[in-house]
Amino acid sequence: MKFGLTHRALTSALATLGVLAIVLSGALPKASVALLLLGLAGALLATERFQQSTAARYTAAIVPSVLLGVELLRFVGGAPMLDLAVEFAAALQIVRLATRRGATHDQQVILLALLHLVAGTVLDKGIAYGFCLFGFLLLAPGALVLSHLRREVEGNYRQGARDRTGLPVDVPRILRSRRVIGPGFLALTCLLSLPIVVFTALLFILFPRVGLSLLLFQNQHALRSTGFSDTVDLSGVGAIRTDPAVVIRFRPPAMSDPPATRLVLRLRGTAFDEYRGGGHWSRTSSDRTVLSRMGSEVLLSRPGDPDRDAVYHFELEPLEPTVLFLPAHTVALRWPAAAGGATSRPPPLTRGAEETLRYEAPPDRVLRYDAYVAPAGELQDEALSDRERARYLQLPAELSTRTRELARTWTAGLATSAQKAAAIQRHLATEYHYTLTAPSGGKPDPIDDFLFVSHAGHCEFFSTAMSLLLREVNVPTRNVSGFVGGTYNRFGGFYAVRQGDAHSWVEAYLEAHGRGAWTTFDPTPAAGAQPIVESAGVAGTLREMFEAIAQGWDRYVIGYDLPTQVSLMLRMQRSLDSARKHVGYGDAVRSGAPLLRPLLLVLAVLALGGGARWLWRRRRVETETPATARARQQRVATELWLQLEEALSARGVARPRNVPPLRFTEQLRAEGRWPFADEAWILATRYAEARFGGVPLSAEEEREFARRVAVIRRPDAHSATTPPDARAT
Amino acid sequence: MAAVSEGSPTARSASSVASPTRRKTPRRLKITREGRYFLGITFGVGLAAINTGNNLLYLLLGVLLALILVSGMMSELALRALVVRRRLPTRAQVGRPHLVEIEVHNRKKRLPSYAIEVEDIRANQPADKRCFFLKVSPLSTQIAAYRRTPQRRGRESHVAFRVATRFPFGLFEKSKQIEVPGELVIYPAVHNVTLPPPRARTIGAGARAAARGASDEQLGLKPYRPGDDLRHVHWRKTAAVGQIVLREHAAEGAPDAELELDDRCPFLDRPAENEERRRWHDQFEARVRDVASRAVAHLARGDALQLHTASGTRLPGNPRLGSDPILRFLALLEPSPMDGKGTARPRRGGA
Repeated sequence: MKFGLTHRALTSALATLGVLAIVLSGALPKASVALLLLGLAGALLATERFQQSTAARYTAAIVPSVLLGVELLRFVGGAPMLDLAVEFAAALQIVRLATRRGATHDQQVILLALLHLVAGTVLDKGIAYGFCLFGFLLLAPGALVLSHLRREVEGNYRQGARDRTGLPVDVPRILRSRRVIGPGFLALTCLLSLPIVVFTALLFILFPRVGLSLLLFQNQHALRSTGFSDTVDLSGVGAIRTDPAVVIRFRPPAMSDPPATRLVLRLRGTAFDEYRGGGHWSRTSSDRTVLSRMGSEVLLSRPGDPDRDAVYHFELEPLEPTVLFLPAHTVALRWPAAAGGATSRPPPLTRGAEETLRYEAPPDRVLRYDAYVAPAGELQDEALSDRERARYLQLPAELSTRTRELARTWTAGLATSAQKAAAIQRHLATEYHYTLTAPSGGKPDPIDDFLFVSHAGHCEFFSTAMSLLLREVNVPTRNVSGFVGGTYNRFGGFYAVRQGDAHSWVEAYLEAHGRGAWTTFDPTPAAGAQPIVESAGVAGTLREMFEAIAQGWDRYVIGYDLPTQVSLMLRMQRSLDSARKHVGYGDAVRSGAPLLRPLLLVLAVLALGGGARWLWRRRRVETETPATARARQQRVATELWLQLEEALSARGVARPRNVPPLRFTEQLRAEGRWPFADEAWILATRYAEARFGGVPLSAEEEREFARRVAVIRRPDAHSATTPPDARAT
Repeated sequence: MAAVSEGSPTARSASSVASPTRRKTPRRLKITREGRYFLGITFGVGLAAINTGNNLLYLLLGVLLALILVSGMMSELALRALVVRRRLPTRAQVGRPHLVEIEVHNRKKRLPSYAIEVEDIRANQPADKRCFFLKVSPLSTQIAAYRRTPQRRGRESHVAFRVATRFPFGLFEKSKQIEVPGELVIYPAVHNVTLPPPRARTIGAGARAAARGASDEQLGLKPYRPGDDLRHVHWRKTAAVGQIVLREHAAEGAPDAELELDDRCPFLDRPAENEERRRWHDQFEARVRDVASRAVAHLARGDALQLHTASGTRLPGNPRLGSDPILRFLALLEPSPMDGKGTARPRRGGA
């Protein structure tokens, strides 16, 4: 493969990963993302001819200044500085990529890609960044090596230079060469990522997590707020059921074998008591009370009992608003401890109106909690005062007469609130259609239109209609928002709740035997009240794998904190202690033979290794063919002769190139004025025998030869030695 | 006129191997400009990671530190098992550029060595000559050469090689020094001279040409007779005619030209001003150059010559042997004291 082309491809890939780390963070406006992606594609397609042109030079000089000016203007206009800086950095990379010329520019591209990855750590903590980082890890060694080699080539070979054989060795020729690097080279550089990954993992695990928290700033763009929201507005039209992003993962207390593909679990987020007409729900109260914690547990109604209650394990992605989602009849919460007993510091919890639980912390990481859910038969008495009852029966004045009449018609002849609620739920679920297009959304009275005109809508229409109809027949209700999930992930072993699983249902206050409690009703037809179905086949499998990886990323990388680190260390220490006990270390110490068994083990391994190596080497020598042995002998002889020749040269007599070694030493002897001539002749004869006569040199002879050469080299070794030039008188 | 002639000593260097069995040559590490930037970024990421506790920054810090670690390992691999040899030219002369070949052999069986820079280190001289090898494949040899123009005559000692590499990422330059001695005698510069017309061959000279003796000049051939020196056997002719044939050599006679060189220095045994000493040395070098030029011109014309120095040294010059002995003698000639009797002393070290 061509050196230049491979280098170009690797550098481009790194730059792409850097830009993607920024673009996929979701921090930038969609228009900016589109422009950046278009620019990136253009830069990647830019030809070398363009990059060498004057236009490219002007582009490289002018465009960054113009971009800087634009960003400054936007900053003055109130755009966030972080967004502008990141946008500018990405744009700078695109310009550099499109106009790069030579190794220096390529190194700038790599540097910018690295800085983009640094910026990405602030913008996004999702698995998308993880993939970019992994790609960088895989490609960076190769790109860095090739960039360095290219820089060396450009620095060491002049334009038009030629080698000893007269062939040009200029830079373009080397860049076109296929001999510099091959597939093996690329494989090797990719393999380099293996030790890099190992070392990175070690450092990641061992480096103490001591956040100083100086000059921190939070990137608000990283938060996700779609799917579930803190308000209800029926006039809005959306397609929330199509967003497959996972927001909650949970494990139920008992799973069938094999686990069910789908599980319908309603996770309550918040509720609304006041319907203001026109399709708007709100809350009349905004009071919050801080929930006290008992150790790692937060009581909602009573202490959790693992034997009695069903314990669900939840992982909540960062969402805005910072609401906790819980199944109905959750009595207590518990923050799970890391292995080893340490507990991550939990955020403070508050209970707001309509039993809305919120955590008071920036939503910057996955929140893990366990929910204790009371068994279905356990009736909780939730008394309702007259004032509260009036609040949950509130109806807007403009509620249409036919709506009121419909409520009475559907509940005619029914005595209890439960019967009324069941009847209304049945009518809605069977006589109305679920649709995402929400044809009644834009109408002045959406509920009236839904009930009498369109007969179709999404879950909020159904829940709102039921709430209003129940209130009309004197049953207190509230409109609940949350998620209904989820779909099973085979790879992660959890149920995934997605953005598209956002749902709305009704809680009605039902009284029986003098006790009252809020009961859940879901009037939405089954098509809209279930977790969205995963695409089957390869796409579904890939999605499950991706989500499982994302969970691992969140849990083991993003969520790795000081308590987890301490726990891990404690576990390691315990494992080590256990291993020591297993090999009898403690007994050996007590018996005065410390480390005896481990030492013996190490020695045995060393001895085995040494023996194997010795056998291998011996076998290698034994299997030496006559041809290779002869070649080795000749090489050794030549080396020795070169040493002798160098020694003679140091003494002032050097062999002319047209005189063979033996003849040369014979001439020295014939001249009769070199005291070392006889010695040189003897050595040359031995060299000739070994080199051409097939008489091998033993190891002892080799050493002796070298020793005698060393004697010749020393001027004082032969007392009569005098330079020939001086003896010419 | 030819400035060089054959017969001059060929200087060769020995080889040196960074063998794993030997004690490891100490390495030197230098941070390149790119390395400084890289370390700066690593430091910044480390600080940010400690400050924010952001795990992704810790990951990135690990990657950057791992790259540094891998850089150290790879550069070590690149420098290992390299055999470096120097090939000095047959002859070298002041003012004339010559090529010095550097040969690098990679003894590794599988791994190539990339971006190897070999610097030839000479004694007491700045290391300004280096050769670059982009790739030395496994079990193969690459040769590069550098050009050099000597500025002074005498013995020039090459002492070692500095083998360096910035491979793999260009962040650090790792180098090791391999002691590989080598020597090159730099002949004095030679310029064109106009010689006086050759002397008419005297009877003596003619008689010299006809007389048999032990000079290097060959007169002819003769059949072997008992008592003759067998070292003069002409093997080819012997094989051709089927009997032993010997070479006949001419007797040494009076030279065609005699050259005088005053090499006595009045300042060797008494103090002198630097300026005075420098002026004398300049004049001495000019005289050496002049004698060398005339000697080469005579020998090129076929004149036998005799070189006398004021300190008493004599050196015959034979056109058949070329100018190398004379030039070598002049290359190594050192000033003698005023009452010196004898020997030309080499410039540095023993001859």
